[in-house]
Amino acid sequence: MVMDIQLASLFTAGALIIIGLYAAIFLDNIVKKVIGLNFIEDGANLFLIALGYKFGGVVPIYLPGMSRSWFYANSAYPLPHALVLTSIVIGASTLAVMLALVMVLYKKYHTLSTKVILGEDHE
Amino acid sequence: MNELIPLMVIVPIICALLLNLLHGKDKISRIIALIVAIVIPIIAIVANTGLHYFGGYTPLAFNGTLLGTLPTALANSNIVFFHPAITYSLVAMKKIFIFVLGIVIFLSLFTYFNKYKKISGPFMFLVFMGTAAVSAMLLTDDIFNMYIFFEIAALTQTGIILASDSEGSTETALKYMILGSIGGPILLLGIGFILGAVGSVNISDIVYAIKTNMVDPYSPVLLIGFAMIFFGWLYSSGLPPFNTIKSLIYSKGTPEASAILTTFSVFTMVALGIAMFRIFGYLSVYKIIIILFALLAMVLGVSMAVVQTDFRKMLGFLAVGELGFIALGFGIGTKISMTAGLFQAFNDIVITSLLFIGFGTIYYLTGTSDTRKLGGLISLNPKVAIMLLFGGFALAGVPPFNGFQSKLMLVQSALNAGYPELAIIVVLVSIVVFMTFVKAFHSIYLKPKPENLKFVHKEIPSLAIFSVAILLIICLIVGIYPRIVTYGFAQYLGGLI
Amino acid sequence: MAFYDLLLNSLKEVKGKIKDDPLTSDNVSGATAGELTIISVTLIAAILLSHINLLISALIIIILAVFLITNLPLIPKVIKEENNSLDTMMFYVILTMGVVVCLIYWGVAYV
Repeated sequence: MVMDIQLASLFTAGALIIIGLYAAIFLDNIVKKVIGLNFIEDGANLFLIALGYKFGGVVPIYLPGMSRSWFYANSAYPLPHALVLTSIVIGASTLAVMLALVMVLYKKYHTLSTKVILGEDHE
Repeated sequence: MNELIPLMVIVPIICALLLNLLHGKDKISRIIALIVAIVIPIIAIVANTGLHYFGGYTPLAFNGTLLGTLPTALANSNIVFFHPAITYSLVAMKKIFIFVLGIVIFLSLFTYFNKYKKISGPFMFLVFMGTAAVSAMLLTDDIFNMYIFFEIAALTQTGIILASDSEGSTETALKYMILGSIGGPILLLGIGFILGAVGSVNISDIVYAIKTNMVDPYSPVLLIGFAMIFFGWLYSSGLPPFNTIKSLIYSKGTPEASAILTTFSVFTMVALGIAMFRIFGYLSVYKIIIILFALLAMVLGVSMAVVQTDFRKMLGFLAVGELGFIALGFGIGTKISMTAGLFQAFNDIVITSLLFIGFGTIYYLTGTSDTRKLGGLISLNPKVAIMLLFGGFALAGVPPFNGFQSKLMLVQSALNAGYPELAIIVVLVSIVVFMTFVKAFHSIYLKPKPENLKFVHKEIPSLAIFSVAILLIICLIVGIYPRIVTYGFAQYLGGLI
Repeated sequence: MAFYDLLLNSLKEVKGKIKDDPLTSDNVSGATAGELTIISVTLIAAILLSHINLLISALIIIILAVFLITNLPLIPKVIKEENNSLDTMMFYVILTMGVVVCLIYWGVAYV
């Protein structure tokens, strides 16, 4: 290992967020924008999970027969796991709604270019 | 009983699922929706104040049996005061807000049922899910729970815009979701930074950890966490740079939908704003940055509103500009100014709902919202015109309505804190709001009717007049006896400051 | 009324200098009110800086006043920037994110 696993995960999360922001701001194709926005959410979730890492730790499930003080000293932090489960579900729902809207707008405009669809207000 | 506290969230969620299943059966859907919309404020009044620990998991320090099984290194540290489960807290301030939320939802649904023959089950689902989400945001003491319900509220707001089906509503909904998918994850990153620094997501625990110096209060991790949570707060409330998209949303929706959307925005602003104040209020840069964005919101909202000729867009910009006053109250940071900010939020919910429903009657009658094509409508229904005029007076801060009391409190708090410039700006912006409103009122009601004005419907639905009248009565009562509302706010803030 | 005509003529003259002006003469009163609001609120808010440093605030007020008066028809520019296109909104969002992070991270040391 060149780098500690937690540090590598945090860097990956940062890279995902930056790539997602680039795609959401600069790319014109609306499907690529939506994929970029999903990257931002994935990066945030990876960041949260990486916070719970413990070097040499065990999965935080208390099995019968474990000594309590050994478990307290060696388990990974379970709170981020619970948080990220809910957050992934929310990310999936948001992605589903955005893709449904993209489908409806494609049927109306027959193009995927953001300048045409989401440009100046069409009144 | 403290068990009633989560019911304020669970009952709207169950109602939402039920109404979605009953789509198509009109009569029973209307009855269920109206019953639940009345039950929510009743639960808010009847429930006892206090804390509710989900699952019964109190902090370890209060749970003697479990405390005995811990190793002494843990049992003697500060961690035993941390909350292991989600906690909801109910105080008088939150009761007042949830009460007015229930009233506004009830009146908006009443007006919606009166206008349309067939009602939409999915629209009811979205309204009640949004109600549950903003109630939970206000009640919860856990910042990640707040984020979850904040995302649910954003999704339901998108759905409500889509359901309104006006020109360009699908594009607006997609723009709102794209901006939300930048704002929401940034808020989540901020929560992650705080979790990494402190080790808990419960707000009371974070405040305790910072006060007892378990973490360095000026550590860069906490500062970046504050910056990101602040950015998420800007998205959810509609302060600049998100004022354009928020005012676009309000102008695209049907009047009842816009009233509901404004209420949701003010609730998320208050909930996240109080959480930010509790955690980061000790930073000197907290006041500066909130006052900066409050001033930007006021100026941009009002100066865009005064040049509009379309009254729905004018109302949208005015609604966004009013949020600047609330943020100013939070930014000055003293007890009086935060009471004034919360009071302004309460008044904002009532007054903007009144104006949206009231101006919606004009749109219902004539089918157009361009003030250049309207005129002379006062001869049709003078009662509604006078009520709307009084509503506009309440917005601008004319006595004896509630807007006057809250803006007076804001001005007094700014002067007491040593910022007379802010008091001058509040008065100036209120004058321009008054001028905008009177200009619009004259264009719609008082100037001579153009010959080519055609009417889509003959009469205003009577329940819309009833809703506007009820909200105006609330404005008048709170304007004459503001202590009904401010007593609860001042009591809550006395415990915080 | 002669004064109103004078005002209208001067605004129309100014309008001729701008390419695609969204204002019409229906909005003259609103546009004037908006101009005055922006200028007065900006200058009064700049006085708040005197809590930090008196000299800097005086300098900033003079610079702001000159800048605002020389770019006088402000409302058309504000209206042009507050359009409904996603690209403009995205630009301001990212700009604000950068400003907020820099202000909070480096501001704590100086305030």
